[in-house]
Amino acid sequence: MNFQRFPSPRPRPVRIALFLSILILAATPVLFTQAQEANHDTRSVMAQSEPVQAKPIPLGWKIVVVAMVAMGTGFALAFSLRAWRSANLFDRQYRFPAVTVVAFRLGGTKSGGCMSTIEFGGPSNENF
Amino acid sequence: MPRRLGMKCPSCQTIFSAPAPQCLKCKLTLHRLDIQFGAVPRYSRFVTDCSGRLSRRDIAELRRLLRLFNRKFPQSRFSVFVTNQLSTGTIGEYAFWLMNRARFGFAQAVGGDNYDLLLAIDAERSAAALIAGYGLETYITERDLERALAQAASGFHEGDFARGIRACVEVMISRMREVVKKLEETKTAEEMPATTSDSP
Repeated sequence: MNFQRFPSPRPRPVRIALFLSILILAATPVLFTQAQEANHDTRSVMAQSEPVQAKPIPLGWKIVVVAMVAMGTGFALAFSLRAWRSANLFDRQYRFPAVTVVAFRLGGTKSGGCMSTIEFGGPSNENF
Repeated sequence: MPRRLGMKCPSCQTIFSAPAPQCLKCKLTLHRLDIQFGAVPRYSRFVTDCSGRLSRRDIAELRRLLRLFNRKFPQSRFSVFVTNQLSTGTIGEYAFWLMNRARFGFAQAVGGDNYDLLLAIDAERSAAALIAGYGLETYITERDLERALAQAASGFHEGDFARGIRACVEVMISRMREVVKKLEETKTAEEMPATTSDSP
C-alpha cells in the first residue's frame, strides 16, 4: 500500500520515457563519432602498412545491420511514445480547494456517509 | 460554490440537519458497525475482488483506469471493493464502515482532506454503494453519485461488473472535472474586477 501524502512528481512511465529519450540523444553522436574515428584509423593503418586486399563487407550484412538499427530505433521511439502518452503528461490535473469546515457525523473521521446506493438484481434497473 | 449537504443516515436514510454523533432514529454509530462487521477484510490498492467476479484482465484494466483517475485528481483516490460475504447489514452501512476503517487512500487523509471515493458492490445481494469522503461532499452531491451508479447499473445487471465499474468511474471523472472547472471560472471571475481596478 502506498500511504504517501502525494504521489511522486514523476511517475514510472515518465521516468522510462525520459531515460529512453536521453539514451537515444546521447547515443547518436557517440555512434557517429566512433564511425568517423574508425574510418580515420583504418585509413592511417592502411597507409602505413602494405596494401592489403581489403575484404569488402557483404551487402547482405550491411542491409541486416541497417535494418536492425532501424528496428531498434523504431521500437525505442514507439515505446517512448507509448510511455509519454500513458503518462498523461499533457493532460492537466484537477484540484479541489481545501475544505476547512467539516461536519463530522456518526463517528466517521473520513466520511460522514455522503453516498448513493442501488439494487441491480431485479428484472429492470428502475430501483434508483 | 461549496455547499452543505442534507446529511443522511447510511442505515435508515433519516435526514438530520446538524452534525450528530449518532443517528437520531436508529442510533447508528461507526462503533456499532465495528461490532457488526468485525475485522477489516483484506484489501488491495484500487481494486479488491473477494467475489471472483472480475477476471485478472479486468482487474488490471480497472487498476489502470483508477491510476489515471488518481493522476487527474491527485488529492483523490477511487477504490472499488467487490464482496459476496456480506451476511449482516446493508451495503450502505458496509460502505460507510469500510470507507472509515480501511485505508484505501492516503493515511493522513481524514476530515476535510479526504477526497476519496469508494464503490462497494455486494455481488451476492446485487447491491452497490458509492460513498465520498468529507472533502468531496462539499463539491459532489448525492445526485452526482446516484447518476454514476445509474450508469453502472446496466453493466452490473448483466453481470459485467468491469463494464459497470468503468462506467461509474468515467461519470465521476467527467463530473469532478466539470466541478473543478466551474470553481476555477468562478474564482477567475471574482479576481477579474480586482485586477482591472488595480491596472492604471
